[in-house]
Amino acid sequence: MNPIDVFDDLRPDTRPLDSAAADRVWAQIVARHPELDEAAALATGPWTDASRLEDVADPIVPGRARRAAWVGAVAAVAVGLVAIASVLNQRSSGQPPTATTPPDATDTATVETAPDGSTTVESDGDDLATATGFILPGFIPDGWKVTELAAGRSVDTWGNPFGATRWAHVVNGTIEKFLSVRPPSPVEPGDDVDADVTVRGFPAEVFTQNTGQIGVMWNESGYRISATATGLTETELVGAMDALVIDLDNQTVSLPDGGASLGLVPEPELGFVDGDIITSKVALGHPGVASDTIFAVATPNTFGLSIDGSLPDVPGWETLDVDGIDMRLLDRSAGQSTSTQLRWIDGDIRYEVHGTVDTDTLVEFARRLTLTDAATFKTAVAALADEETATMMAWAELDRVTFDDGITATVRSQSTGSGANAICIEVPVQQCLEQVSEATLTGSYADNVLGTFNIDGRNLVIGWQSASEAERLGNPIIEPADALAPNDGLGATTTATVDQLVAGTSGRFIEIEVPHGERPPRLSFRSGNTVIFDTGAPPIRSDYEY
Amino acid sequence: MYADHAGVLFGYFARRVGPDLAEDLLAETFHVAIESFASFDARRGGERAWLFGIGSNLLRHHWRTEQRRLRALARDAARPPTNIDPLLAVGDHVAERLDAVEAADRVIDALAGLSPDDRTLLFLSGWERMNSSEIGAAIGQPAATVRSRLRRLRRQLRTTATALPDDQEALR
Repeated sequence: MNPIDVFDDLRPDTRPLDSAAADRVWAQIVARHPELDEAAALATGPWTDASRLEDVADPIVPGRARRAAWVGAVAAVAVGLVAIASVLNQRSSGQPPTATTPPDATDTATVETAPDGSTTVESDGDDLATATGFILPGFIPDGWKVTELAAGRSVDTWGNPFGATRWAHVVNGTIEKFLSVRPPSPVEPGDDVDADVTVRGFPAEVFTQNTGQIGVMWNESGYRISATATGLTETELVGAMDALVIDLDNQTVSLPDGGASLGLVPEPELGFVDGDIITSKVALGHPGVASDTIFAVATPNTFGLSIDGSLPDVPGWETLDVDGIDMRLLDRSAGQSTSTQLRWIDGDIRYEVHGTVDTDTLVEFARRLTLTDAATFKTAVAALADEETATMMAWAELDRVTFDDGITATVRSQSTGSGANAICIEVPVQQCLEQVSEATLTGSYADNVLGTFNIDGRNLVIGWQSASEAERLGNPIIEPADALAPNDGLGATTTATVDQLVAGTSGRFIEIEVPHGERPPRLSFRSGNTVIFDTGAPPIRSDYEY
Repeated sequence: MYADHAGVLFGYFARRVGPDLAEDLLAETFHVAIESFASFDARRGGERAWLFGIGSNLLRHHWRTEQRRLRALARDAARPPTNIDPLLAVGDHVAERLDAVEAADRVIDALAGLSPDDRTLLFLSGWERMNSSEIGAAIGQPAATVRSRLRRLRRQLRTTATALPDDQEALR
């Protein structure tokens, strides 16, 4: 029997989610987010309402009216939230970076040895030092606090984020045509294509994406090349790819006429923005109400979009004049988003502000955002990190180790005392990283924790496992980050090794030094060929992100 | 959002780890969604795909449970039927059932050798019937990449699961 059929046949039938189970699960959620209970009750009445169960049984039915009434509950927020926000927000999520810009390379250092044997240390990583476009809040509503600051080089959300070469045709601030070609990458096993068309004499596969883009990919001279386009026909796209000039040595592509025959202009020649502008984000939280948020993202207006040309295609946008700035407002009462949004363009920068507060408060937050420089932003990030670290250092110490290199690490437990809520470096500097409960079930602590620290120019991965987990899992194996490599100059492979594996009092610690130019690896634990547990790769640290 | 997606998410979890753990995972998925809702980007895919991505991440930590469940399912399927069909030769029936268990075991072993991300791709595709665009939105990869990875994985599964165990190979 075909193994694929066997796999399909193993698919079990399961009972549907009945009202009792739905209530039980809802109770679990509300226990941790009590604000939802009140909001949901106000909006729709009790969960066991029969009409709502119909939606559970048939999740394909959009249920827009009910969803619109889902005021304040959970959070699909952000119709059109720029993708950079998702990456910047992943600082502690444990998920691999996906679309858009990666976090910055951390502030690295290289040791130069002079002929006389003396050494000097040079910082080579702070490529944001002269960048512009950093935002900080000038107004924080009562009871709120800054919970996140992040900045980095960005690509626009149009097209492919993986270091693609891009062309656009922009008319009156709206992108009419767009072409994105990913840099050639070595063909990997399984990278075969269907022969829908022929490109440059090679079979090529045409695909469409739910964003309305059309794409084509093919293998040539041992390399995979793919392109996506908006506003071009399949014939135009294939024709452009037939003419593509590919430089395999430098991993670059270009069009012989620069795209002019299709009305396209290469991205660097669009000239809409100053190349020093970066993307930055600031988020506020409201202690005790986890679903409340305010955040702002400032990003370069790479394609010279007009404010109306940059808006997500949903109804309900209103025009608002704030101190002479032409803003657009999408009030959450319009039912398109669970937060209220403000958007505007000022100079070369596009701004988005989202919040679960009332419109007046959000406008005040928006109008008092300030632009600042890299040094000031970096200082603010450090202050936030210190503040969060101080909070976590007050939690109970669960385990402690001092590695051979003198670094002292601890894990700390917020309430239960039986698992980790934070992993900290205490010597030579104090830095703590909170461990989110994503890796656990309803318990609020973790038995396996892993964080990346930047200590004296060294990128270190420090981890801890409880004694029972260490016994169950055995020794770790270093594996490369399991993610498509974004164009951040960091290698897709890893040469890191486990430097130290040291027992503590209630578990064991691990230290791994990440070679410069590489991403932090993930750790897997195997029994024979079977992967028993996989940590995922922790995100690389940046002085511009907390 | 809960009303729209809880049912289908519960089904996904229940198929992979059973209904009891599925309830906990469902609650945890929405908890994570609430905590990280600022990361939701409607242009990368809908709420459903986003929630499946979160849920799949949570499932990474339950492979042992999944494995046990899969083996139990395979053996359940091979139990003698309660209504014996007199037209079928009992001996053949037994042999078929044992073959089925062995085939399932090999597939489960092959699945065990995959990375958690690769397993997620197979389950979302094979069991949840999601297309490459939906899967791409869930795991944050282009649909074309998903298709390419799925082709490779299916080929790998075919090769691994049909290979004879080492000791049998040695006897040939």
